[in-house]
Amino acid sequence: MDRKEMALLLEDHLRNVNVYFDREREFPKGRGPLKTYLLEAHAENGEVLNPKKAPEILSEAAERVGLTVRQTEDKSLFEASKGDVGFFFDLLDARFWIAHTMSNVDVAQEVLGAVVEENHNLDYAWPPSDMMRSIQRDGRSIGFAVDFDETEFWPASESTLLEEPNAVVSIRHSGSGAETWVRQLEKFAPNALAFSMVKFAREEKNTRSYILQELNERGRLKAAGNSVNLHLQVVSTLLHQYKSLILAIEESARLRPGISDTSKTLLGEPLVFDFPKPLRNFEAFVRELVSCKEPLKIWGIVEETGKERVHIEGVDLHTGSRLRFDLTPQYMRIYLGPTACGNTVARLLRNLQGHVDSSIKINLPAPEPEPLNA
Amino acid sequence: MNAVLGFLKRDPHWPSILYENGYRLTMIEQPVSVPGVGNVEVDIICLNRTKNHALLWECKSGHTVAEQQARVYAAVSATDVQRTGNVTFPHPQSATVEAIYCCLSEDSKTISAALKELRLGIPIVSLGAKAELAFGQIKETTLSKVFMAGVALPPLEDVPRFLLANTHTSKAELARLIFPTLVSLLRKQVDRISVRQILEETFNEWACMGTDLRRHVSDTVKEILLDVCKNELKELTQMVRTSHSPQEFFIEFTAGLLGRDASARTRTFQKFERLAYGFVERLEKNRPFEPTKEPESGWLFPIS
Repeated sequence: MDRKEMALLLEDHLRNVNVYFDREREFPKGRGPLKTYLLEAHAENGEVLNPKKAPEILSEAAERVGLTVRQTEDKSLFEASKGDVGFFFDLLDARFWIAHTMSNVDVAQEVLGAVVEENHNLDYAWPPSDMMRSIQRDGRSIGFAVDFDETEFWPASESTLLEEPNAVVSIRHSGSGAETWVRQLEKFAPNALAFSMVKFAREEKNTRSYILQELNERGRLKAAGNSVNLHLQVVSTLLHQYKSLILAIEESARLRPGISDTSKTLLGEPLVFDFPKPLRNFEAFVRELVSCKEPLKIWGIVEETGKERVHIEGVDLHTGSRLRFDLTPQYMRIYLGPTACGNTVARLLRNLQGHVDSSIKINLPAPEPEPLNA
Repeated sequence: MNAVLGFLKRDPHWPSILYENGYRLTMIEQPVSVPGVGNVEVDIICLNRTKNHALLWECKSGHTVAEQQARVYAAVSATDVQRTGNVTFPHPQSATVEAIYCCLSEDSKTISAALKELRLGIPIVSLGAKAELAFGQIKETTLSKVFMAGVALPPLEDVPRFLLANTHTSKAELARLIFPTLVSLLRKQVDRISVRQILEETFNEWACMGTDLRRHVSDTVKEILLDVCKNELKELTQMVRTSHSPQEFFIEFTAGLLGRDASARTRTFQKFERLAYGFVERLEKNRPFEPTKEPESGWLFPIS
């Protein structure tokens, strides 16, 4: 097995998809769409992976959930299987892994979910809502899902929810009128448009190639169509855009010493997420933030410094790096340590967009130049 | 001090007055000596490399002025800053420096009166609704104009926290900073944890701290680590003395402490959360370790 053979196999699967996207759960024995996941990986101690170490990390992580990994003829491509479930792992980028599977979505998700859950050093990609929309609009929009739920960080009673029409918004649309629907929704619920899925089509008229794609908020692409090449182009675009975001976060926001022969300074800036409307239940939010649990995976001790104002000394349990927060109902300031992982910020942002306000954005200052040596 | 450090950075909720005028942080709490006059520990030294000019900030938390300190600030030269403050200027011979006092607006009148009485013209920048020049003249003309006009400030409680510790930081506050670093190193599965590693991972500004401040923080952190490892973490860690120096030690976590599966790891981290709150509370209240005493922090209990 090498990349060419993998592509042929995946294309053959694509052409023979006979269970459409939404129906896969109903017809688990049918041939569902091709699924591709983007994962982010570190060494077990949280350090950056190099290409030599990545296969070892994959094997160890897979072994914990009973997946058997086999090297292919391509040194950066691996097959992993457990019973009926199989994956191709593409480790060409030692940190941002691609996993393709032709298996049923539920069982594949269960196995991959276990891999991520059992291995803190692995994480999903968490593309922000606006990145998902930007990738969608590179093609033709043919659907979307919005899943916004404030009750995750705001335990609310049914009667309270009756007063709040946009506190829980769940919409799934399929069809070529997607953009018109989105424009209408922007008028009614601009702060609740957390896209949990975007669906789009791309085509190459010259070769009569086309692909239909669904991208979800954890970096999973589902594909049907007739061209694996088009699919792999979309995967590559997603990886490139997501990786650029993560590296930009790390470059501008890791607080670290800048040391040269002639000077010492402190590089990096804190990140601030402004909440367009104040947090509804500050205390519940703080507790959820530092619960150590999925999806945020943050450990922390909280110090109350004023009314609805806390400082948190925290640890990102994904990589083990230190981070700290200043938190009020109006904003969250995040101080990343020198080796902190940008994926943690993306994960946090994605969850804020889905559970606090979909219009929360990340604004990165231009990176400061490192001090020059004399 | 964090207010001035914030001026040197680009936090969206705090004005970047000094950053925008080309100044960058160089040193924190750095002793500088002026021959024949005396020594001061300069709170913050920042340098504009283009102008070859450094600002020496004395951040006043109260309203008193120490005469000796003020006389040193009034007399300090670029040569003193280079020779005894360990600052490297792009052009050493033509380098210039000036000292600025920074205080809360309610204290500025008292401080300026004290400086007047001493006949010292050290400028004062006061912090209130605005950051503004309250007394004297800033030599650097661009910056002088900025502070004379005043820059609107958010409430002081919004100041970003770049500096986490100084010589006045209590043991409990330091413990709140370093315990999470122990958890971080546990998660990273570091076999042997050195004090230096804990310091560097806790204090992002460690490299910019003056040597005396570093020694002070380092010594206090060692005391805290010895305390926690003998008490709260007794069953979970062991101390290993280094062979080269009996004062130095490593911390090792008990093997397999994290557990094999995700839920066991989560339980371990939650246990460390309780231990952290308990330890910080014990130091705050200056009481001996009681193994059965549960922390009182309200943040530990789930919302009803």
